[in-house]
Amino acid sequence: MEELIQELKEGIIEVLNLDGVTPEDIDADAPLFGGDLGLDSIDALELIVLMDKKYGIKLKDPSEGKKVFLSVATMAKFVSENRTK
Amino acid sequence: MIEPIYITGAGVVSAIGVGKEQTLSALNAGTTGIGTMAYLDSCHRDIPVGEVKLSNDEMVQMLGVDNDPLFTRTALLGRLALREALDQAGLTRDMLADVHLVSSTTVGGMDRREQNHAQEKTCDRLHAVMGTHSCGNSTQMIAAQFGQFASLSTVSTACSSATNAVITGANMLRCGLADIVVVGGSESLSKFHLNGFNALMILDRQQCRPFDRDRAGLNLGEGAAYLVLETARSVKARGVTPLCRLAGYGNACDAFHQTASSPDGEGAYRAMSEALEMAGMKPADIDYINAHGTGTPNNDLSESQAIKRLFGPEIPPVSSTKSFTGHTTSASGTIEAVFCLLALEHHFLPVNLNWQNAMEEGIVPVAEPRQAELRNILSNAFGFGGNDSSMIFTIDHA
Amino acid sequence: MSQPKIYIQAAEQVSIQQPLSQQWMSEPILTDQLLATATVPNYRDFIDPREARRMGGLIKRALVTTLKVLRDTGVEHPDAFITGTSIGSLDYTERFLDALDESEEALSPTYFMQSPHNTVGSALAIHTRSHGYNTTYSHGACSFDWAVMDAWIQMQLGKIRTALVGGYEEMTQDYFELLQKTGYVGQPGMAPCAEMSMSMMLNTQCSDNCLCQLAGVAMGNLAYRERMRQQLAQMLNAAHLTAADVSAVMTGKNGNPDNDACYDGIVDDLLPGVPLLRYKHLFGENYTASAMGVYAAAHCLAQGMVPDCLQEQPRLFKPCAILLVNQMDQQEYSLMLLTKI
Repeated sequence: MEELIQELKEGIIEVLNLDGVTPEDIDADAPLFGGDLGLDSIDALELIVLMDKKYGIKLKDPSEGKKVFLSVATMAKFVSENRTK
Repeated sequence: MIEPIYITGAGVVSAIGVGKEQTLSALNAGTTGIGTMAYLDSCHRDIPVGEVKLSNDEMVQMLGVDNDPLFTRTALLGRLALREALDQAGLTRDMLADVHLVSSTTVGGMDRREQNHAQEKTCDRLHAVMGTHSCGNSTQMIAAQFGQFASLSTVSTACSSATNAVITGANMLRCGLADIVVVGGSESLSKFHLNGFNALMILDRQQCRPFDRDRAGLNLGEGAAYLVLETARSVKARGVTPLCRLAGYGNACDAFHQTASSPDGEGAYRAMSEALEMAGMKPADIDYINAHGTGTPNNDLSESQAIKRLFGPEIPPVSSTKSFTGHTTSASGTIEAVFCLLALEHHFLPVNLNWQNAMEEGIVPVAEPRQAELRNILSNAFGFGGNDSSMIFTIDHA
Repeated sequence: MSQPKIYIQAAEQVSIQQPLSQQWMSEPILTDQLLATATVPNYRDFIDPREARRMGGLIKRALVTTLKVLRDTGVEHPDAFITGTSIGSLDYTERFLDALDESEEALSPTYFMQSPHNTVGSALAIHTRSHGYNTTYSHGACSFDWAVMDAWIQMQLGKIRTALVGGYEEMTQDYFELLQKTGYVGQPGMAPCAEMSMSMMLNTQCSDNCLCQLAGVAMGNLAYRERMRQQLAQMLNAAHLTAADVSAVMTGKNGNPDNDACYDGIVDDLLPGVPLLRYKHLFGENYTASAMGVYAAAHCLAQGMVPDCLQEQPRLFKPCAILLVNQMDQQEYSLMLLTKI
């Protein structure tokens, strides 16, 4: 799980183009949205694309994403349970 | 005293018909034009769209012109609508030296570029011209059939483009730069923006349901519409009968987010207020609001808030005719303006199809067709980036 | 009704010259590249990287020139943001197209949401929280000129007093190659095809720092040459000037023979024999290049000199009025008259 969390953090930084942010800056249990990172609805959509491309998980709508993207930890749990690649 | 601006011609093409006559009968019968994709080449067959029920070849035939490989669907749709508007206003080729055209589009020739994009590296000159077709070229291509206009211009503010073209044209008249300006917009469906809206996850897999509790996004549509705007002096000199008057308009920026509207609908509120102020009207003077009403959870809530802020408890009848046509994006402003003109002339309230349940804190739209004497109509068009605009059409009863 | 005077209060550029600077007047950078990229300033001096994370180059360059103009003029929220861009965020548009060629699944919304042409103008409003009038013209080589026209009209009508007017364009290798095939740019001897950002503040109030006056603007169809002559006559008349007062004409000559011959024809029609200036060899060719012409002319009038690098036949003179001529596809034109204060 630690490995997946690290991978997710790196993926998030890359797809959201979080210039100057390192994986260590992201607390796996802290809220991804509404926190220091300043992410918005478009970032959520980019994370949905990330889930699809990298892990073969299709989320049908943004409201489904809301629960998954609470924190990096919840993302990791969801990915490990649902990934198809 | 603001010099009055009249509308002396109108032309429209959308999923519910070519021309005002077909459009009127579909609006009255409550027949939607949204359905299964028949002309657009996309793998997303499950997404309903409001296509104009004509192939490009059929449009070329209707226009009576020789086919040209450079023709874009946007240009063909635009020509059909522009021809009807010019005809109604009695504007012939020899008169265009004094007629300006302000058109609008965002998609422009993207329908052609996306077909060839993969081969562009090795394409010939003709396909390079196709690939670099811009919004301005789109306007030139639409105009070319009719003659030499005094000037051409192209506005591109996404889904409020056509309304902003009206505003530019009207300001040109008021400033004394012109006596007649034809304004409007044209937009064809493209794989590009269908997929873009799909990536934004705001497309409803069913028929769109503006202002409904269970609304799940918009359906994309296509079409074109043009209005002939004319000063009082020119109307008198030419002895033409105006269809109605453009009483006011407003343009404001929500300045909130590139794709989301603000929760309180600040931009929408400002655009509508400005239009009312210019028209010298109170909210109570408005008899019907043709809403932007895309059917996305965000727009319809934000627009509801803005309408409630401005109109208070006495909200006039509201409907979104995007339930007939889908969201015709850059062309929607003037397509819906033509619907408003028809409502004024034929005394009816266009119905908001597919509405069943009231949304929390939302407005309740016109769900059943109704006859109504209308004097003043407010029409909204909001675009990405918060480019929000409104206009007011008025019938001056003698 | 007395017509308000309109001033260019400030104008800033990012292009192939030194960014946010008038260094080109004394040390112009000349390139023989057919496609040249812009020299960009440090974005971090203007935009929080977090806010800029989704912005393409076009929007970042537009924000920088705009924020510099807002800072220099002290106008925090102009009454209007009016933008000219013919192709908008081309880079992101093409990235979305490239992805579409692969598959219609799992596409990035960011590349799409920046593709509408109005994303630039609205980004400026969103960043500065400006709720005023906001619109975008995408009319090929006259995109910027229509933006100026709109501001002009609304100032005449008294609807606005300040307007941030800009011309913004970017270029990609792929698009350049298409343009090369069409013959528009990219042949030896032509001005480089380049990306650029130019923002200027129009203000109906004159202040000490104003660069020059925007004495007139007109648009039209080259099929109607007589009207073009009338427009110039009216413009000069309104500014209490005669044809002899026009110090120079700034054209959009770029080394493409068809393009340049069209300008020669227009100048012969309007003001034969007047000294000619050009700017595209310095700032590059692009759809909104005419914005750089206005920028260059405004700074010449402010400094009371025209650097040799702009002149077809260099000589020393103090400009009083510069007429800018721009044409599109040899079919449409714009005229703008700038005068010294």
